Amino acid sequence: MRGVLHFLIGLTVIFCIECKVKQDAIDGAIVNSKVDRKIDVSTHLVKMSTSITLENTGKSPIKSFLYALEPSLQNYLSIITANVKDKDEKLGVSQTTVASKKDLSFWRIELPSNLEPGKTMTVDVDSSYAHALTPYPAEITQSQKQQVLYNGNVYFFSPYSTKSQTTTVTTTNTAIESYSKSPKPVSQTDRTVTYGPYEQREAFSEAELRVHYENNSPFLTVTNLERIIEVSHWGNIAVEEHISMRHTGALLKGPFSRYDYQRAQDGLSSIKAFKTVLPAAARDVYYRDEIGNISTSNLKEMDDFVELELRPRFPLFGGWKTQYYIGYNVPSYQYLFNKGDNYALKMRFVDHIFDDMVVDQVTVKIILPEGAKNMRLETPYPVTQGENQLHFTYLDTTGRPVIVIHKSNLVEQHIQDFQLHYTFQKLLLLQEPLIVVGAFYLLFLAVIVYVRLDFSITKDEAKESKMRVASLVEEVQSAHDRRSALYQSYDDAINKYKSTKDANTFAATRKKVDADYKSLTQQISDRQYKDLVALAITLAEKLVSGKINKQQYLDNEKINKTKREDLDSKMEALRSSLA
Amino acid sequence: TGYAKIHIPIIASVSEHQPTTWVSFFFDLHILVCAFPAGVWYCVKHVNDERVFVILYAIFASYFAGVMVRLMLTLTPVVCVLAAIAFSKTFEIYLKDDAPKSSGKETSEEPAESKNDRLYDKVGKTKKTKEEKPKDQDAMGMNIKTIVIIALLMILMLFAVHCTWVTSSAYSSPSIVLASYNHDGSRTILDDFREAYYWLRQNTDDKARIMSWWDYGYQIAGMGNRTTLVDNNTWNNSHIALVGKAMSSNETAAYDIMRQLDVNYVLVIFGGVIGYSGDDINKFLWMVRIAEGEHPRDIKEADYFTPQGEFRVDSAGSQTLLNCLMYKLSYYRFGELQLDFRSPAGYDRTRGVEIGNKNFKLTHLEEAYTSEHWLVRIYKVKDLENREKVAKPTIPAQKWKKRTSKKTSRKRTGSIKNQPKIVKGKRKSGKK
Repeated sequence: MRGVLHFLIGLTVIFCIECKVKQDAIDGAIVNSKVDRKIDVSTHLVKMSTSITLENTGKSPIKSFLYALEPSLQNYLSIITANVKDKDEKLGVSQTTVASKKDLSFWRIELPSNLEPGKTMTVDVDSSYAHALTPYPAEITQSQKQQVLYNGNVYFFSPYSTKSQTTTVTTTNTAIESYSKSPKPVSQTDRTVTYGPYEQREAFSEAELRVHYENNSPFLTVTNLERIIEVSHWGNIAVEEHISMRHTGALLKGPFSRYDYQRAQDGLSSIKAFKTVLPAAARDVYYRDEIGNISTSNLKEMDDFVELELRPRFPLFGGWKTQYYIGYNVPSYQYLFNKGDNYALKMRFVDHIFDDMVVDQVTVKIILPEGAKNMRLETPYPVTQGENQLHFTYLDTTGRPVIVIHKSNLVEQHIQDFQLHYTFQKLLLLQEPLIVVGAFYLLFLAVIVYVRLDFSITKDEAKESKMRVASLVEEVQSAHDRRSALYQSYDDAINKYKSTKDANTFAATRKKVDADYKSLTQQISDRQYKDLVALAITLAEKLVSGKINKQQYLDNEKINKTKREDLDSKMEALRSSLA
Repeated sequence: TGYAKIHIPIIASVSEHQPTTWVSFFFDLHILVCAFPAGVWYCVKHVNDERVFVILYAIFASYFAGVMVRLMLTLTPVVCVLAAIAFSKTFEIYLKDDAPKSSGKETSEEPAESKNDRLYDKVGKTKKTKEEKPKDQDAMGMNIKTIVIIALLMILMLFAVHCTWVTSSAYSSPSIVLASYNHDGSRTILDDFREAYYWLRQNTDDKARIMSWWDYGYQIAGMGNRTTLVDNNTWNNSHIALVGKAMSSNETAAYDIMRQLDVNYVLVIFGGVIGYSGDDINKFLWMVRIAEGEHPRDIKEADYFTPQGEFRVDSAGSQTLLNCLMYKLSYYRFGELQLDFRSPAGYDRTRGVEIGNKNFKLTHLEEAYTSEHWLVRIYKVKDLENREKVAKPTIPAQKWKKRTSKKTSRKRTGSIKNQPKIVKGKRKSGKK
């Protein structure tokens, strides 16, 4: 027995505990002094709201009590919550078993404070059941109205005896086909059937409650929901939901007549449109399916939320199904929090799809940026965590880690936040732009190397001589530039001389500049050919003056001529190739 | 086309196989139709090896483009090339700026001429006129050039505008999603095709077989993900003829064919509610012709026309047409629908008439789904009946004799016929 008080604060976040199914014993000292049950079957969900006044008839204080589910409904339980009457704090609720009653389902509800002997306390327990209503008849034609059957228990199915109890069943409209009329007293007014008050009933007392009534509310079930949340540290979270939905009411029997549907407003139980509520900051909403964009939708931006009215491509009649994707972007500052390298993502586990929604199977995938480590998930209710996967998209090297979570049988009350903690080094944020930069760098490097490669097999004379001429011209140009710079230095020297009247330095500078000038002029001018011509002239002079004999002259002349011809042909070749 | 029209109606039925009209020539080519012969003439005048190929291509392509609309595609490249040649030659002539040269030439010629003329004519006057003329000619030359160049440029700009408009309106609109514009300019999107194909994809059995005309085969296979009987690539003409025969026969005969082909759903396109002109009733005659090609004894095209030779769906239409499967599937329960207050119930917007056969029931088919604007109608083929209903049981006509009583006024008590007389104690004589 524990002596510690349990005090749970907070409406939404309850830390995920492994659902330990505990063993419990029925405490004979608890008695339900007054029970008031309200069963709302106006939609396709069975919503039961039980107000129990507990009385402690024993000697020791009571810390918790057991809540049993009716056998006819126990397989359909979707959610169960409890709170003390007129207070908002949710009490701790956990599944448990009792050794003596193995085939029944029990839930233990922790009281906020000990219930002293002789005292009473009123606790409100709310539970929702999905798929508990059966369409009866199971198949209807387009013009018929849909009728469903609710099978339950007239008495409050409890492990404790009940002193006084009343049960009220609220249906959709006044068309109640039939209802079980015993045990008395039973009365019907408008849309409600009241059973009770009943006095002094035993624990686990049962009596059939059967209501057959008309229910044309949309029987829409989401058979499979896949919610993909992609987190990017650049400031955006992209959410995409893949929804498969089905009409789980009475099946359509016979033909579907568009004429009757449009003219006579038939198909009262069919689903034409529904409204989805998205977070207020949702932007870039898209509504598509496998074959393309669905054009029949309306988006309204309100203050607190974004309302999206979706119309499936065709109206859903009993047994018909459809699939669609919807996606939107939200800014990350609203959901992603960090302290140093530790990040926390706080988002809704499932979001609103339509009012009174039922989701049979949900898979949530959270894609974190590359390099996220030490992931830790906290959920408000028990979920099944699958294997972590890897997701590859733009600029990914090792892949982005994906957390996969599964859960089944969810209703609107399951729209609560989960928390995902992980660590991510801030430096890794630069990885993406650096990859882009690196890729371009390599590309440019390759191009630079490539254009400098020469794979030609033969020597292309024209090209080579062109290149040589180009380099020579460049040399000449630079020599020209330097010579013109020298003029400037001449000017500077003169000015200096004028200012300092220093003759020696002036002479020295002048000499230096002159020497530079000469060398440059030599570079520019074409000395070779002129030299040869000068040589030819000297030879001729020598011959004329008889200094060398004819034979020598002829030889030298020949050499000179061939040299000149060579130069000539070279120049011609250059000219022709340049042309 | 003469052969195909008579012998192979399925080839003749494709709308792109019809002969080309002048309108389509102008629509696709605009001004290039006029510039193209000029280019051909230029190539012929300055012929060389490559230009021979271009000339031959141009001649053959223009012949074939005149035969079939689709072959316009083969004509356009050579038209573009030759028209470009024509335009560039024209521009070359008119953009040439040889005003100073020509004036120089003229002045040099002029003194020579004037020298000659002096021999014959008076001095001065002729000189002056001769001097003026070249100058005037120069001015005229400049004006003509600018006018011509500007005119050609404007024509080319108009050509560019026309091409953009043609591409955007005729060659870009997807025919799967129809858009219509209201009187206030806002757009209504008619997404019926995708609506019906998606319904097929989600709400029919995976192995269901759909019968429809071959135009929609690929759409059903792609968007509906279901097996079809015939689609755009079916080469088996007899199979298409069988589908056509099913569409053209009455419901019972069509049901036989559908059971043979093991069809689960039938899909028809009906444009009577929104005025869509590409629906199956407009294509119906081709279905008849193709079916007649294979089954000439069962289907006769003339049966579907009125005695005057018109194709009508109103009360004056032929009975065969008003009772065939295509008619019934298109107009099932349409006779009850009144589109607006002025027109009668069952007014077909596409044909512009009130339909003839209104309140009929289908025996072998059941309406499975009709899209929002009645554009796509899907019917489910019902199973065989447990018991075949005979319309008129052949009970032989019996003559009921008026029964008169044999009892006379005295002997009212009845008696049993042939009652054996039994005397107690005595055995009957026969037994010994």
